[in-house]
This record gives sequence, structure tokens and C-alpha cells, in this order.
Amino acid sequence: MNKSILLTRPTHDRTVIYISRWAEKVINFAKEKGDKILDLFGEKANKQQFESMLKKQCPSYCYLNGHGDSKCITGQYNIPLVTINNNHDILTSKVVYGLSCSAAKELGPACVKSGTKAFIGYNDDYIFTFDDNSRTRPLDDKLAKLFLEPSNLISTSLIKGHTVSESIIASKNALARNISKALTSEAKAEERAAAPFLIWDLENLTFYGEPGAKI
Amino acid sequence: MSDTISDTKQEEQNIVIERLKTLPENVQISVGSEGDFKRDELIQRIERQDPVGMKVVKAQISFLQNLKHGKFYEQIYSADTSDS
Repeated sequence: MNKSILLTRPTHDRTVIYISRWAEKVINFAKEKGDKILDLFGEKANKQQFESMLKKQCPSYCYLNGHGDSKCITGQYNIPLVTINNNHDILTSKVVYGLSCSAAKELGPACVKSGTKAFIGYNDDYIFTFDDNSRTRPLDDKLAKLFLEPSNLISTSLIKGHTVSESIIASKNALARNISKALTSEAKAEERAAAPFLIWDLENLTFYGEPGAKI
Repeated sequence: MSDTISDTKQEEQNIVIERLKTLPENVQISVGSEGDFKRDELIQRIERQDPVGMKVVKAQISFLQNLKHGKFYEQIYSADTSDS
């Protein structure tokens, strides 16, 4: 059965431009599979459109790119899209991946308590490195790829029909392989510099809810 | 006792600063909503002991401790032997 996937992709600073551009790869993959994409890109990544899309289209998977903290995930211009004790119950019955700082700490458990099937996210800041020479071409940035390709694996694994726990394992294994590469003597200096932050993200990636949940 | 703790913290910060000095000029580090930083900006933030600087110290020291204890080798081995 074809799935409906909601993405938020703000574009107001370089960090969110990078993660939002890399999310294009997930969009293309999902389209190839025939899934329906609800893409809140740039200015459209606002609370009104987010809530409206969730209510009208009932996506089974929400992939939220943006800044945030332990209590919320934000959209364009860092305006909150989903916040604890405000509207977190809007994610009921969904699988959610928040590529956003610390959202797994409090928002994730609160969403699951309110009926979200599973919430995937990070317990602390999401840190990644990138090459300043590639700042205008994020998708060609091999340094950012070490981080954002494993992150994308969470979504592509879910889209393929894998469970939440299988998708997390796939992502962590990809991070581990990149760490392994970054620690070899053949690695470039910038790749070696990425290793501590790859491990940081690997250790902070987690989920709450049903391990066997699918989208 | 508190002198020892503060000496250890200072030592950790010095280790991380020395490590960061080896970073190539083109590398930027994005630290969540705090922004993205080049090598010299991060070193300044560690010297100021601000939250971004302390976060980077935490990540780097955790990495070194992981290396010392071989903590993530199991994960790497498991990834290398998986079909994913």
C-alpha cells in the first residue's frame, strides 16, 4: 500500500539548508516507490500548514527537519511546529523522525504517551561537520555525507517497509562504518575530524514507542 | 578536591583545543541551533567556556574515552558483518 509522508524542511540558516537539501534524497526515493509526499519546504514549514496537513492528509510518517530543543521542534525562522503541552498530541498514530536537537529527550516520550507509534530522534544536539567549499552545493559535500546519509537511512528503511528498530540499526551501522573509515590511516584530515561527532550522533540516536512499528 | 576537578577540566579543554588546531580551515562544525563554527571560533568558545565550547569538549573527550576503552569497536564490528 502506498504511504503518505510529511516532511518539514526549513531553509532560514545553513544548518537547516543542509539537512533540508539532503532530505530531497528521501523525497526522490519515496516518489520512486509511489508514495505520496507532503513537503513543507521553506516558508511552508509553519505551524498552520503543518497542523492543517496532518489533519487533512493523515500521513503515516512525519520526517521533521529543523532546530529545536528537548520540548519542541521548530520550522522556518525557528518558530515551533510541535511543542509539549501545546500540540504534541497532533502526532498521534504516526511514526516520527525528528532530525532536530534533543527532541528525543522530552518531546519523544510525551508524544508516545499521547499515542504516537514511535518517535525517533536525538537525546542531545545533532552535530555534523561540512566542507565550507561545498556550502553552495550541499548534496556534493562528502563530509556532510558521512552524517546525513546514515540519517537518511532511517527514512529510506522505513519506506522500504522495515520496522523502526531495524531502521535505527541500519542507520547506526552506517554511522559505525563511517567512523571506521574515518579512523583509518588513509582518511583525510577532515574525515578524521568528523569521527568524534559521528560517535556523538550514534550514541544520541534513539527511539521511543513500538520497536516493531512500520509506516 | 575542587581544585583537582577544575584542573582536570582545564586539562580536558587544553587537549580539545590542541586537537581542534589540527582541523583543516575548510571544516565547519554545525552544533544544532547554536550555529556553525570554524576551528578558531570553536577554540575561542572553549576558552570562554560557553555552552557551545563545552559541548564540543564533551563530544571530543567522550570520543577519546571511547577510543581508550574500545567501546564502539563492537558496534563497528557488528556494522561490518551486517548486510544492511
